[in-house]
Amino acid sequence: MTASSAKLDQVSAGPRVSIRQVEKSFGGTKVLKGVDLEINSGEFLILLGPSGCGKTTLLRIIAGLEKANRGEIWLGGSEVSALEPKERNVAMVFQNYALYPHMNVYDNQAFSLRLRGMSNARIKGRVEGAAAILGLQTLQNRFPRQLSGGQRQRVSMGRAIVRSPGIFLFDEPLSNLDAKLRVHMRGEIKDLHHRLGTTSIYVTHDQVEAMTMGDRIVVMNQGVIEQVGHPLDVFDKPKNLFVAGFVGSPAMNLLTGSMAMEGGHPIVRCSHELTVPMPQSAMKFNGRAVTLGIRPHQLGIDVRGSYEAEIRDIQPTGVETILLCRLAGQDVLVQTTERITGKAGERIRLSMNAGNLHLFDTASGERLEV
Amino acid sequence: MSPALRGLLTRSGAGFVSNGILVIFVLISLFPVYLMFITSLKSQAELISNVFALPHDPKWGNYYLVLIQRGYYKAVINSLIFAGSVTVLTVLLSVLAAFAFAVFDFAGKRTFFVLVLVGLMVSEVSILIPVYNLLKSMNLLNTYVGMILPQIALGLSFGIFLMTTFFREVPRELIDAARLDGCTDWQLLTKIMIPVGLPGINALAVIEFLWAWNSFFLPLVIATKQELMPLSVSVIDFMGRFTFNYELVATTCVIMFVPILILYIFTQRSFRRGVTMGAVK
Repeated sequence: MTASSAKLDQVSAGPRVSIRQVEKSFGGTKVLKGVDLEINSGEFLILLGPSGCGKTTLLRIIAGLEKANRGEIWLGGSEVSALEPKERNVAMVFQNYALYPHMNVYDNQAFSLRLRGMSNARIKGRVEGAAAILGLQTLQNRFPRQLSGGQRQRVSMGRAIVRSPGIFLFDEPLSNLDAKLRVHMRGEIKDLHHRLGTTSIYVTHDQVEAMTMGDRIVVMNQGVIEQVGHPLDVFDKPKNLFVAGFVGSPAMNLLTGSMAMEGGHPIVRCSHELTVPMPQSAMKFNGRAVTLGIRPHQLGIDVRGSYEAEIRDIQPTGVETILLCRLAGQDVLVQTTERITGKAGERIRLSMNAGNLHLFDTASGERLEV
Repeated sequence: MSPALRGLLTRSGAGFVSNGILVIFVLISLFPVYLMFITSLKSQAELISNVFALPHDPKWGNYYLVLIQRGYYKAVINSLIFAGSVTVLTVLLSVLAAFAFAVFDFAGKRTFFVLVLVGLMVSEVSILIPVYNLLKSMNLLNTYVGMILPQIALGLSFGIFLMTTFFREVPRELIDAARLDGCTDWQLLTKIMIPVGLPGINALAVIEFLWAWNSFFLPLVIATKQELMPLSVSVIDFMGRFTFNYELVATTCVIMFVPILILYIFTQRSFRRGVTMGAVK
């Protein structure tokens, strides 16, 4: 690492971010409905959700690019809700890079520092430091149109780094890159965070990015936070049906039915042909309409399995195979590392382990702990 | 005949027809220019006997006669002052207004923009008398200011409309990035929007210069003194009630035409980009 990059590495972990009761409407559409969130100093937090869930709006409100209708944003110990973007000491990396087309790579990075009136020597040191971290040394004289997508995104990150901001905001920065480059850049961003340790908020709708990059995930839907937690906790214990269906690829299988007792044991009856035994502790939900969730990789293909299903489609991906099956009138996905030799229309037997089952109240969508 | 060969012949046939039509249109467009140029090099006597052919003995002296002997170089200077001022001020005001329309949200924004669009429908002739009376009451007749201000007003609607279209096409994220980098509104305009919108600004400058350079009615009514007349008005000196010096009118027209041609040649790349950029995203 060069001396200049070392200088950049000395950036502090950044402030703690508090989002308190933030509401935002566009016309008659309420995009954020009272969002509360605490982001720890130096944390890499993922805002995950489908398009239109309000995650980008929340990011823009933190940046100061949008004003909230209600609520407060606190960075460190001070409220910044009324401050202009430039006064918040945040840097943002955009989906479309947002590089200034009339400036070369060096000037793109130096622009914000020049606006602050920094001396040319200091600017040079900072830009060279960022270039060393991101491997941009040979690209300094090029214009954005002369760069590939990955290089542009790296310049965009360099522009954020040189400012030594308190917080990095990423707005779906890898969406425009091809799959291979995305994997590479994912590693680079994570590595960058490890080196700089700056508080980072990262918006994405990509499950893999969310699972692999974040210290914590915030799952959003229709302007509210559905669940906050460590990626694997969210994956293993989704708080409600929305999170269960959204987090994880392929999505969790959700089978509707009702809780009943059979021979003194609780079961979920999805249909006449499909009844799933549940642990004894599920007895308290007897009579409720429930939704049973099981991850596709936890549905086993087993000749001694209790459930017969019909294969509708086979999707081999190389590493694994995904089968779309019809189980007691409902579609389910089965994910297996085995090579499947059968074909559509054939019948297979499936097994499921009671320990891997998730139970949700169909009416409220909330998780039922068994 | 094979289908491939037939397809090739059909395609080349279609290309021949479309190219032929284009050539005809080019000839129709260039013919008046040709006629103007060769007329400017003929004597009155030759013009009567030989209208369309090249001059037997080119009279380059016509240009000396018009520019120096008749003193039309002053009209050229007037035209340059008039069109130059109109262009600079119209572009400046259009850029400022368009920046506001494209970037900021303010009360009545839509209404103001509709008013700007309505301005596009106002013709020069329809406001001639009120403008004359207004300038007269302000003692601005026969002044550069009196000539320049109404011309700016006429060009401003188009200028604001064109530049707003340009600035609206600047990605929102670029503006956001500039704000996060610490740009004030003025810095956003001067350091980001103007450099990014330069093709549009060039296109607007060429169009406004062309309009002002060729403007006839307003200067005719407002500038009645010879020393203020631009070239476009001075040319009527050669059009008497009973005489009409075609060759000198043509000479003056060529003198008017050349600066526009030079301007277009130098700016055509960005002009073309500018004119088409507003049309397609």
